[in-house]
Amino acid sequence: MMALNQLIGIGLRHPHYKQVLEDLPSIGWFEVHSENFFANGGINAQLITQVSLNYPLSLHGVGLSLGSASGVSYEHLARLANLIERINPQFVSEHLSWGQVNGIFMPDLLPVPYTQESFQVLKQNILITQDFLKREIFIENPSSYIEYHASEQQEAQFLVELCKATGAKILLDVNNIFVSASNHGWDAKQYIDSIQKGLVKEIHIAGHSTKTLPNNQILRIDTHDSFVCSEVWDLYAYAIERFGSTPTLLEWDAEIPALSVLIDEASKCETYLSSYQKQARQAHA
Amino acid sequence: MHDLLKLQKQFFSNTFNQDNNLDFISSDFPQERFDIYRGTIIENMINALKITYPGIWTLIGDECANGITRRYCQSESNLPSTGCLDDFGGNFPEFLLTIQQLNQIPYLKDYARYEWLKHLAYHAPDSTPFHRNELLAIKQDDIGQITFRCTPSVHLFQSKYPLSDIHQIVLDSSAKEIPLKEEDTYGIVSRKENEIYTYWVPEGDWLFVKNLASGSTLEESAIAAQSIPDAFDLSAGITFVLQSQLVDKIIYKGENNVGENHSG
Repeated sequence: MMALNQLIGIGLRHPHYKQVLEDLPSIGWFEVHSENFFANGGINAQLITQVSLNYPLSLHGVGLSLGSASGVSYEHLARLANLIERINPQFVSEHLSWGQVNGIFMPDLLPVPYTQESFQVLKQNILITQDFLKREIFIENPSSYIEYHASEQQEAQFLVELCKATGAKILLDVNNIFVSASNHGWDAKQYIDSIQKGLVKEIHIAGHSTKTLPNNQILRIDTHDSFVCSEVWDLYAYAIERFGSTPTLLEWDAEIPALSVLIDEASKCETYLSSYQKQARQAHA
Repeated sequence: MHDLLKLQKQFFSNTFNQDNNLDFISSDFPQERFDIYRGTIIENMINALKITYPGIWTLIGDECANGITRRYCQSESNLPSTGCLDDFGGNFPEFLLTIQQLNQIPYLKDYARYEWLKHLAYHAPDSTPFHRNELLAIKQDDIGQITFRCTPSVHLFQSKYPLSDIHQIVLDSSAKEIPLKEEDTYGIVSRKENEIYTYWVPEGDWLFVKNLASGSTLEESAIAAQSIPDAFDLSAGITFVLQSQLVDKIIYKGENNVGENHSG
């Protein structure tokens, strides 16, 4: 198999743990959900250590709930810090979302209203997190199915200002932009255009599904259960054109196919990354 | 109350109480859109419990187990209290007792409890079993006073139902039906070299380990194990504890026990 561009990674999920360690496939890096590896012992702890010895790793959190008015959990942060200490990841990321209220956690990435109060809450929680972990984190733009009456700002603008205020960087999920833009009538390219070039440090691509609303409108749902659609590839090309060669990860979390299928799908990024790299070289020549 | 907290409480209430008070949403078809979140949240909790309690799903079937989980999630005290779903569902066994339709399956709570202990063992911190030489180095004068620390993955359980037979049925659906009679079961769950083991042991052996786990001396544990009309062989008991790697530290009198014993 041809060696993949080292910027290309895939999400490492349970069905492929064993195979990855046996085959050591040619892939630039892996991303895992942090919470799946919080345990200080057992087979998962050994596995993630082994993977970290062979590949750069990215820790992608889904349970910190940065957007909660009730604040972030220091117990959660301590477990995350422990994991970081054990595997020394190249990236640590979380979401522009919430899931916890008054100590009860809803396992989903729920959208926040883009208000001044939300901004202050997120700013405080991100600063606490970065201070606790002693490192910069990336914040991923969410996919969403609803908008709030309370929102005063556009999502991209909110995210950019938040990162500027905290020193965090952006994990740009291109599929999420496409899903949310389609669901809310936003302009996906304008979303990308409104983000400064130096802020995006990682990109996600993924597949999604659809549901039909009573008025026959298509609602897109971020299910990570299929191949990346052509519109998202087009948007990815647009993002690479703007942000340059950026570490890119294929997420596939449900109906997970064979590892070779994931790698083949992720390898499609190569076309866009190498095209950009060629253009950049020509511009320098 | 701050607006964000108020909104998040309203979101929560709509998710679990189905208040249908979605006036915070500006999008059209708010109910259809909100139901995607509600569905994902419930589905994620069902999947988490299905992973932790696979035997319960096998014993009562997907439809019934999923339905019970939905009821389980109606109570705030049952909902996840951390952002790590591995922590979720510890009181699911007790909840099963409250379901009237499950009264015909009285062993279900005990079997669920057994599965929860396996889940805890799977995620327990690593530990290094002590070397046999450490045991040989114990001075005669110390034998009556030393205690042992169990590895963090060790959990003990008992039931008045034949859980080991029920476990065989869970593992092999073609296994013959067993007559459900009350039959005391004593078990020890632990992790050794990344594998989860269940030791179905006689009551004497179980009492021996239980006492060791709670900080009793070797002598006190042996006396407790021999207090019942069940042949307990101290030598065999010690061999079992060592070979199964149930203990990881010898604690001499006056020595601090760093870390605590674990027992279900």
